Parts: sequence; structure tokens; C-alpha cells
Amino acid sequence: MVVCIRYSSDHESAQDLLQEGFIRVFQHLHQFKNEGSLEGWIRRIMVNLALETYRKTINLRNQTELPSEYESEHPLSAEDIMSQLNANELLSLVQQLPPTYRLVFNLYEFEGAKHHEIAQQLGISEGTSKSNLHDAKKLLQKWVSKLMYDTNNQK
Amino acid sequence: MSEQESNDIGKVFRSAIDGLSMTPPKAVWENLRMMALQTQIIRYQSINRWLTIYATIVTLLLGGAIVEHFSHSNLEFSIPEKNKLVYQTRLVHDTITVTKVIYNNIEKSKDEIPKIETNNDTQISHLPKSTNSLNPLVYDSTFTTKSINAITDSASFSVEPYDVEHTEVISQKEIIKTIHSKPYSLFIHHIPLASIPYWQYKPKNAPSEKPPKLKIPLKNRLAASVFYAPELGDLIVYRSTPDAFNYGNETIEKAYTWGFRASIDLSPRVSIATGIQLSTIQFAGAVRKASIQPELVNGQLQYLYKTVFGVANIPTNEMTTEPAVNNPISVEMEDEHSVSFVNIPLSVRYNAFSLKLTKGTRNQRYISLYGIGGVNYHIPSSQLMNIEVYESDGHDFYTTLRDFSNTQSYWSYQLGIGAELELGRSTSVWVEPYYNRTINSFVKDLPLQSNLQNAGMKFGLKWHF
Repeated sequence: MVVCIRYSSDHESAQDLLQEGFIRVFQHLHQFKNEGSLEGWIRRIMVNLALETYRKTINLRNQTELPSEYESEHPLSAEDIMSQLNANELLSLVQQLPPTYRLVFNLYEFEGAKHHEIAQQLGISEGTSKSNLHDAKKLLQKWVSKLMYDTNNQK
Repeated sequence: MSEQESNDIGKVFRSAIDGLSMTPPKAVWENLRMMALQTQIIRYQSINRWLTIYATIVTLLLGGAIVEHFSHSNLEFSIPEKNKLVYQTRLVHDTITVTKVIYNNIEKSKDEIPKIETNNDTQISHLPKSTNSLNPLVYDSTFTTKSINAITDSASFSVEPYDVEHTEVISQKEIIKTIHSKPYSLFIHHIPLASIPYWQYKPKNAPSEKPPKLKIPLKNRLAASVFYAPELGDLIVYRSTPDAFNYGNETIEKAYTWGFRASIDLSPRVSIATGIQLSTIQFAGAVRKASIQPELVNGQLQYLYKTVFGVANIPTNEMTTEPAVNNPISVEMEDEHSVSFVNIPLSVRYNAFSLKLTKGTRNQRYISLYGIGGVNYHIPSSQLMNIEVYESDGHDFYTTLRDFSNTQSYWSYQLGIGAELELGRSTSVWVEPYYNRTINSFVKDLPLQSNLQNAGMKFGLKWHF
């Protein structure tokens, strides 16, 4: 479920992705070759489905503009983030990323894909993939800072 | 933001989110269940469509054969109203049959006597009167065999007065046919126009006394076969609840049947068959390794291996750890994984066509085409599954599961068409493609229904007694 949420902008889209993914799992279960874990195989199906969905709906090449509000003001340490924000909050930040950034960020950070593989899968250049990942991280950095600031102010 | 910070933020997200698990809402499972059911319905409809096509073909084949059969039986010849026919057929020797036809009150010349084709294989002669003393009611299979060739031209015979039927007899003839001691055979009944035309005359004032019915001794109507049939099988599993998805995803890797079939001919075209068969199905699992938590069964914690063809209790006597709620084991399925059933079939066969493959009277070969359909009763006879068990403490061992519960006997129906080739006087070989499908599930008291459908090809060797 978390995999689907990571690749979706909201929970409803994540549920649709999960549902469609499981149907595909049932349909292709006989093709599972026991060469890896079943969990990994199902995860791969979900990711491929997310990629297909994006290819159908998003023109990836035109989604490389960075929102204007991305400049991070304060450097953050991993310890600070982990101590002040929980996993669900971080997950919702990933969901807020523009579709292209979210896809590149997920593929690179969670699926372990290299830039040339991402570029091949999305039909973009390797440089664009690197740039998108960099921008995605900048955005996340800024949102994390803002979230931490808001959280501290509420306290 | 520096490159280092950028990498750190990625690492933070990865470490925080990657281990996160979330249960999907119940609505998702409900939707999935509905989708799975819809998929199954679509699949079922597809199978039904193919079955309908198959059944239509078999019905047309059998129906066509029946129409063809009766259209020959209804041949009518223009015999004058005043004529009377007297049939006398007798066995002179086990290779010679005498068929006598007497026309009474024929007012027309012999040229006007209905013409019937002549077959060169039939030898015709006139018998002395003394042959009448033979028992006219002796009929056996030899008669039937020879009757095939009894297509004669009555007008070509010389007509001799024969006063055995009192005064009005103006023509008679006796036909002697010799054959080559061929035993009774199903094949030759299906040659077009094979029946003796005399039996098929339907004059408007037909004699009230019908010719005696042909009786074939029981032993000549029996046959026995052995056969082997490789099969292509498909496992159809209907899962009614999400829990049903815990019951494995086996697929059929290999299936075959061999058996013995005994048949008895009810008529030249129709026969019934039964016998005994042993069917074996070898399964492959889509998931070879699975983690199993112990479940409470009759007050005891037990490890259950759940398959779509039954549930097996994994023996714990070789285990070094005790079954406990937080002590799951991993089970790996090995290659050997099979189920056997003893089947008792009951089927009806209809011989549709027969073709003569050779010319002449000697070493004749016939091939017969038929349709066959019926039901099978399957009784589970053995179930075997080799697994390797891995315990949480690192100990592992191999074991064979044989005692599966929740299996039951089941019915199936079978439809097929076949061809039988005569080899010799009492042997033939046959080949029979068929389709078989279960009528009821072969598991019970489980949240799923498991059914089988097979398409196979039987190769058999048959003995005629």
C-alpha cells in the first residue's frame, strides 16, 4: 500500500493503483518464476503500473519546470527531521511532489534505479533525470523545513 | 542546498518510509473480490462458449449420422400391392447363409421386379429344395456380417416356381453368400446401403408376420480395451472470500490417465462402456516458498499446508521447535507433487460412420468414426507432496505430506469423438480426443471450489470377443 501511496498524489489514486495492481498480480501469477521474492515481484508490478499510468497522463518532457518556491533557507540534519516528523508526514510530502519529480525520486531512492535506467523508462535524457531528482530533493527539503517550523510554532 | 544535504534528505525519506506498512482499506479488498469474481465469470462464459461449440459439433455429427442411418432404413421400393413377400433366411454353415425371397401374386413380368444393386462379393446360386429342412431360425453374427453384401438384383435371377407357399408363388430365389469366416464386427454395419434390402421393403400390404429379429449372442457384443491418455489440464479455482487466497496457487504441470474399458453393443451403432481408470495430476506451485503460522485445530497448534486440492497437516515430530503463535515456519515445495484419482466411467458411444479402407473380400480393413459421451465418478486414491521445512532456529528437514483433508469424490462429464481402425479379426486400435470437466468441486468445507478441466487424447487397443 505504501508503494502505491508513494507513487500517487492522494489516497484515492493510491487505492486505485493498488486495486489495479492486484488484478494484474492475479492475472499474471502463473508467470512468477520463483527467481525472487513474491513481495518484490508484486512491488515491481505496482511500480510498472504507476509508470504506465504516468506515461498515459503526463507529458514527462514538459514537466521539468521547478516551482518558484523551492529555495531552502535552513540546512537540516537527518536526526532533526526524524525526531520531529513521522513517516506518514514524510509520505504525504512525497505525494505533494509534482508527478515527474515524484516518479524520479521514487525510482531513484526507493527502487534503486540508476539515472540511465530512469531516463530509459521515462523517455527523458539522463541529465533531465538528474536535474529532476535534484529539484525534487530541494522541494522536499524546503517543505520539511516549513513543516518543522510550523510544528515547532504550534508547540 | 549542498550535494551532501541533498543525499541526506533522500536517505531520510528512504529510512522513514521504506519500512512503513499500511493496511489497505476494507473497500479495496471488497472491490478486488468483486473484480476477481467478474474475471471468473468472464472466464466461465468463455469456457461455456467453447463447450457450446464443441457440444454443437458432436450433436451435429451424431444427429447427421442418425438421419443418415434412418434415411437408408426408410427406402421404399415400388412393389405391386398384390405382392406378398415371404422372408426366409437360414444358416447353412457358419460361413454360408441362405436368404430366400419369395414373391407371391406377382402379376408383372420378372423384368418389373424391383431392381436392386448387385455386389460382386456375393455368390449367388440356387439351392436344392432340401435345404429348407435346415432350421430357419438360426441367426448369429455370421449372418449379420454376410448380410452386408446381400445386395442383389432379383431381376437377374431365374425365377423358378416353388410351391412351398401353396399355389400363388410365382417367383422365388435363394441366395448363398460365402464369406471368409469373419467374426461379427461393428465396422461393417455402417457401410452405406449395407443392410439387406429385403428387410427394408415396406410394401403397402406388408405381411403381418414380421421377420424374426436378429439376435447376436452376448459374447459377440462384448469388447475390452486398454488405453493411455496424456492430458492438458487446467485448474479452475473459485475463491469466494479473501481468506480463500491463502490456499495456494497450484497449476497443473502434467496430467495423464490410463485404464481399462469394457463395452457392450446395444445395437450395431450404439454401445455402452464402463471400466476403471487411474488419473494422475502433477501440480506446480506458483509460490514455492511460503511462511506458515500455526493455527489452532482441535485445541492444538498445528502447521497447515493449504493447497487448492486440500489441507495437509505438517508433521511436527521432526521439528526442533514447538508450534507457537510467534514461531512461523517456512515451507518450500519440492518437485514431487501429485494427486491420483480412481475413475469409474459410464459412457454411451454412437458409431456414426464406417469406411472400408481396402478393396476385395480378403483382408478387409474398416475405420469407424464415433461420438462418445458420459460421466465419470472420481475417487481420490492418493496424494503426495514433498516439502522442505525451515524452522526459526535454523533447523530444516524434508518430509512428504500424504494425508490431505477436505478432499472429496466428484463427478465429471466427458465428451469425445473417436476413430477405430480394425487390425484383425478381433482386434482394433482407437484414438479418441476428448474433453472432461468436473461437475462438482473436489474439495469441501473450504472457502474455495476447485474444479478441473482436461482435454486429452486416448490411445487404445481393443479386443472383440
